[in-house]
Parts: sequence; C-alpha cells; structure tokens
Amino acid sequence: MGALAASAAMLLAVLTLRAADAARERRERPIVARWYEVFAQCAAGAPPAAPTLHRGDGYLFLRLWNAMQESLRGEAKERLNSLARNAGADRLAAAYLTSRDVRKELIGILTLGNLREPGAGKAMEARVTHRLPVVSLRAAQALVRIEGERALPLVLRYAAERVDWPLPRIINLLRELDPTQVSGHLAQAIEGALLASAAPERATRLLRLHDTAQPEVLRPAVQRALATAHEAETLAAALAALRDPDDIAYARRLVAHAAWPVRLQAAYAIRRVGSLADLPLLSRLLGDPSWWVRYRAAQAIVAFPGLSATQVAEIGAGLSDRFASDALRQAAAEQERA
Amino acid sequence: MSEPVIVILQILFICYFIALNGGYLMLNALSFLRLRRHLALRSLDGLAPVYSGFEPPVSILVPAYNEESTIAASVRSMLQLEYPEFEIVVINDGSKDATMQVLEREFRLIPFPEAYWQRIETRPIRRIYRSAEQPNLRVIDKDNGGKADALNAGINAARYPLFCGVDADSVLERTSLARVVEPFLEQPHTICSGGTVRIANGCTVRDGFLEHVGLPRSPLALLQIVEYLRAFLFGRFGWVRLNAVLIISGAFGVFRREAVVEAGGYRRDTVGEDMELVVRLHRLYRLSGRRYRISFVPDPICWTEAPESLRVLRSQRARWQRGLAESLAMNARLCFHRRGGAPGWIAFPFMIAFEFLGPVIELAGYLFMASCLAVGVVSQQALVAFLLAALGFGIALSVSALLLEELSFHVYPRRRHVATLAAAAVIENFGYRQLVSLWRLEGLLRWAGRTRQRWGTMTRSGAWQRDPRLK
Repeated sequence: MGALAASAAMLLAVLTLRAADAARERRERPIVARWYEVFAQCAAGAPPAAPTLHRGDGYLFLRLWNAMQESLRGEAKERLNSLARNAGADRLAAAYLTSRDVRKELIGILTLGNLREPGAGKAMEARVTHRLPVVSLRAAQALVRIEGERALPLVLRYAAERVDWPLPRIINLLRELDPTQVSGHLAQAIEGALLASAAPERATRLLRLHDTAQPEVLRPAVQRALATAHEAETLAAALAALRDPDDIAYARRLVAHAAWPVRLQAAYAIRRVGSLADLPLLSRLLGDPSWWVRYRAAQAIVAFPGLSATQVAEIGAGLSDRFASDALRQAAAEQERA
Repeated sequence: MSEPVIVILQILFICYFIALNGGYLMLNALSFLRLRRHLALRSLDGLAPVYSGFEPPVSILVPAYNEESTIAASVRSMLQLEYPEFEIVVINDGSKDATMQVLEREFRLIPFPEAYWQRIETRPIRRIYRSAEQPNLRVIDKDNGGKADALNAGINAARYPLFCGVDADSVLERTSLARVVEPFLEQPHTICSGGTVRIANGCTVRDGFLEHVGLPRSPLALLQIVEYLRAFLFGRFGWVRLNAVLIISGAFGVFRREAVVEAGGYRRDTVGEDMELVVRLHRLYRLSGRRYRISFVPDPICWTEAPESLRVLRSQRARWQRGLAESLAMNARLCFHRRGGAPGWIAFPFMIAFEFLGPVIELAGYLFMASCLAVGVVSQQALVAFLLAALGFGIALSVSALLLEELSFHVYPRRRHVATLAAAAVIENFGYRQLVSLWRLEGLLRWAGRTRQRWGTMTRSGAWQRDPRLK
C-alpha cells in the first residue's frame, strides 16, 4: 500500500510542480519585459536609471542583465554597468558569493566579473582553487575581467596544473585580453614549467595555449622546449607553436622522431614555415607507417607555393610505395577541389 | 508441488519484483541527486555560448541502409549543427533502395580518390564520394555488411579524434554535439559519452530539427515515452557517478576513435553492437587497469521515431534483448573480475539479474501466481503482496520517473501533456510492461537459438519530410 500511496503523492507533486511553474512564469513575464525594455533603452544611450529591484527578483534580474551584458560591446556595456550598480546588483552579487546554492554563487561570480568590480578580486582569487572546475573557471574569467593582465600569473599557474580546466575554455578566457598582454606571461610560464622538469605535462598544456599570444614573444620558450624536452607530447605541442622560418631546423630534426604525433606536427610545421628545400624530407614522410603523417606530408607538398600540379604529379609518378602515392593523390584532389 | 515449496516460490517472486523495482527506484534517486548538481552547474551555459575553435573536431558517422525517405533531411539537419569543426561521413551499407541516388542528387556527390586506411576489417568499399557543395560531407558506398560493419568503415574513414555514431533517422538539436562532447573537455580520460534519446512522435520537426515538443496520438508511442523516461534516461544516468554506464544508445554517442580502434571496432556478430562496444571498452580498460571514463549526458539532445505498430515494436524489443544478452555473454569476464570495479561488481550483475533474466522471472512470476490462483493455492495476502510488488512498485517507478522529468527538464510544455503522461505512467503497468517482457523473452530465445539477424527491420515513415508534424 505504501507504494501506491507514494505513487499518488508523486503524481500530486508532478501536477503541483507544473502548476507552480506556470504561476512563476506568469509572474515573471512582465518583470522580464520591463527589465528588457530598461536594458534596451540604457544600451541605446538613455541615462542608467533603474526601476526598483524587488526582493526575490534578484536572481532573475542578474540572469537577464548578464545575458544582455555578454551580448554588448563598448560604451553600452559601461552604461549597463552603471544601471546595475544603481539597482544594487553589485551588493546582491557579492551576497550571492557566499550562498550555498551553486547557481547563485555562479551568477554572483559572473556579475562581479562583468561589473569589473575592483573589490571582488580577492574573492575571485580564492575561488580559482575551487574543486569544481565550472566554479573555478568562472572565477578565473572574472578575475581576468577585473584585474586584467595582473591576474595572468595566477591563472596560468592553474591553467598548467588543472587538467580539469578544458583548454578551449582557457583559450576563450585568455582571448579576452590582447595577445600583447598575454605573450610575456605565457612565455615566462612555459619557461618555468620546462625548468620544473618533474611535470612536463604542464609545459605541454601551456604550449597548447600558444594561439592566444604573439609568436615572436613565445619564440624563445618554444625553442627551449624543442631543444630540451624529451616527451613526445611536449615536442608535438612545441612544433605546433613553431612559427618562425629560422626555426625550421627543429622540425627537420624531428621528422624522424619515434612518436608519430611528433612527426605529424613536424610535417605541419614544414608546411607552415618550410621551403622547397624540404621536399625530399616530406617525400620521405609520404612513406611513413602512420596514415596521418603520410596525409599531412602530402598536404604539405601540394600546398607549397611555387609547386605546380604537374610537378606534384611528377613526384607522385616517382613514388614506388602505393600508400605514399595514394596519400598524394588524395591531397592533390582535395587541393584541386578546394 | 507441496505447499511449502509453493509458499517459498511465492515469496521469491515477490522479493524479486521488489528488488527489481526497488533497484530502479534507487537508480532514480541517484539520478535525481546528480541531476540537481548537473543542472545547477550548467545554469550559466545558455548565457553566452562561445566556442574557441579549439574544441576537439568530431566525425559524425551516419550508417544508412534503405533510408531513402529520411537520409537527405537527416544529413541536412546534421550539417546545421552548432559546433566549430565536424565532418559527416554517411556510410551506405549496400542499400537496396535509392539511398545512394538520393545522396548523389541532393548533395552533388563526386567520386573521390581517398587514401582509405583499413584499420578495422570491413566488407569491400565500392567507392568514396565527396560532396561538391558541402566540403565536410563524404559518403562511403560499400557492400552490405550490417550496421556494425558500416560503422567500422566510417571509423576507418574518420578524420577526427572523436567520432559520433548517429542513426540516419535521428532528430537532433543544434547544440546536441556540443553538449555530448562536453565530458571529453572536462575529463580528458573520457573515451565515450552518450546522449539521451527521446521520442519524436507527436513533435514538430522542421528542417531536421525539433521545433515543438508534443505528445503522439498513438497510445503505443505514448507508453514508450514513459518507458524511455523510466528505463533509458534516469535508469542510465544513475550509473554515471559510479562510472558504470553499460549502455550508450547507437542513436547518438561519441567515442574516442583510437580507443575504439584499439578495441577492434564494432563487432559484426551481434545485433547489440552499441551496447557490446561499451561493455567491451569497460572490460578492456578495467582489466588492464587503465584510467578511463564513460559518461552520459542527461539533456534531451537526440529524438527518434518510436514504433507505432505492435509488430515493429515486438521486433525492436526482441532485437534489443538479444543484443543485451550477446553483449553480456561476450564480455562475461568483466563480471566479478577482481579488477572489474563498479561495472563488474555492480552494473554487470544488475544487468544480469534485472535486464537479462528479468523477462524470464517476471513472466514466470505472473504465470505462477495465475496458476496458483486458478487452482486455489494462493492466499489472499500473498496475491495482494505480489500485485503490490509487481504493479504497485511498477507504478511508483514510472511516476517517479515522471516526477524527475518535471523536476529537471520538463520537456513537455503543456499541463495537458503532464496529465496524459501521468495517466500513461499508471496504465503502462497493466499490460504494456508484461507484453514487452514477453517480446524480450522472445529475444532471449532467439539468442539461445542463435538465429541470424543483421540490420533491424524498423520501418521508418520519414513523415517529417513530407509533413512537419509526426503522426
């Protein structure tokens, strides 16, 4: 009988929840409409006067405001910040930071970051070490927004250490700054990680962030990695960051590396910064045991400026290895149809 | 049969039903705790979805066999997925209808000299095509070898480190791929991640994407909605915390290509190739002591057409049960292996007790109690206890799934939908579940008899191509 009573109670709960949900939606609809109108007027240049923010509407207001804020650029963003401060969003967000509800904590972090609230830096620093990656990454993002370049040593330290921070998210976070701000700090962090040889994976993770920095500033760190690292992953990551034609010797040396991901990145690097003098090396890579190395080497050959389709066909005709000629034929066909 | 034996059997059957439904109720409770956390941590996701361009690129593999009515719309919808970098590889597995001609015409396919790398053995490849209008679309035309063989050919041709197996008739959401790839970003040792499959019957589908959620008119499809919630969503999500998810639906799942190649790809000698692969990955990684994670995303990201005829549903359920039996039998070493961990010590035995043996014991229980009732050897208390354990707990389980749905995603927008589903949650326990058990038993018998079977015989209407509204 207990099971039936529980079923009846759950059915009642389902229907009650749906009714409560519908009532909440009805109540929120005019609030959402009112705030969107205020935000839109403010973004368009109206003075940032805010209607009274009712107790209980705080979370909804912060969600709406952050959604608007994330979609704006420039002066409109500043006006929206003034409006939020006038409405008391800064105090509300700070109070949410200590909430036991993780939703409120997250919206509090996001709000203070978007407000670039100067006094919130310490609270964000404390949360960068939070065990939940979602919270720690949001805190790192807010810290970067609040403190800019000054936040980088700390953020890069954790970017290297925390494998639960997805690299695409870190790249997004770093892209909020100008590459000129990131480059020096990233180069220094890579050098530091290379010196601490006990944890080579940290250098690897940092090297994979190379796209957020200026190649010329990173160059010494990349050179050091290519000259001193032994781990295949680190070498592959460093080759992926190689951008200077004067460093081509590293790529040439590594085309014979035992690990195929390194040979693959070497082929990529030659494609980026190599010259026709590298053609024999790439032709050799066409016979590599790894399909991916053969394919990338073939792509590198057909993409060489100054090498005509006829010359590519001649190279293909001279190949005795079927796998090599297959790879070259595919790459040539792709190039032709691109 | 002596009276004490009859009483003992009655008690055993009652205990089994309590354990069966209680086990799933426990999984629902685990799901609920995890779901609350999951939804709270994802609460900011909708505010500013930004891609860095460094997300792992994905090869979407679409095996197709006689899919002429749906293949073009499916591919078009997949081409519109919101994800930084992906390719679509359609594998025409020797279709006897015009699947290949439809693809050639709709996407201007041209033969392409691809350096095909056969890492997993498959039936011969006839030709590889590339679309002249969609640079990220390729089609492999091959001899018929079954769905597993087609997927293996797709894995061989895949360019990217992750591949996503998608049924040609799956209806996706624009962010489906991004959401199912999320576990790979958050936990680098993830080798597989599955998506929740929901029923599309009654929904409005436009340009291959789900536009409005609705309920089907067909009572059979309606009952399957409750069943999907109960068994395939919350029943599976409960295993995530233990890293013991044994089933990732073939309709939508992402795998790390190298892990699958190393495991030997999909097996061609089972009708449950999707489950078998996941159980095998557990076995290989557990027994070799390697760190790995198999994840499951509860968000509704893939919708599929459910059978609306008893004949097709019967065939589907018999096939699924046979696939389950094959998957467990082929990987029996995982069960109670000293390195088996939660998959070997909890999930695998659970599957054997409640999924593999379930239909046998459930039907035996009903038959036994009915026989006892007919010859008057069952006490009123025992009968009431049995009905409560079998039906009362069953209703509680179905309703709890509905409650979980309401507390989490509340996908069905109207109050009328909820009332209809609540009714279905009760009704499905009177006939439908027993019928499904019977079909599952049929699947077990086919497995025991080793009857040959390849592609499923599920008939797709492809209705959403002609009319945006599914029956």
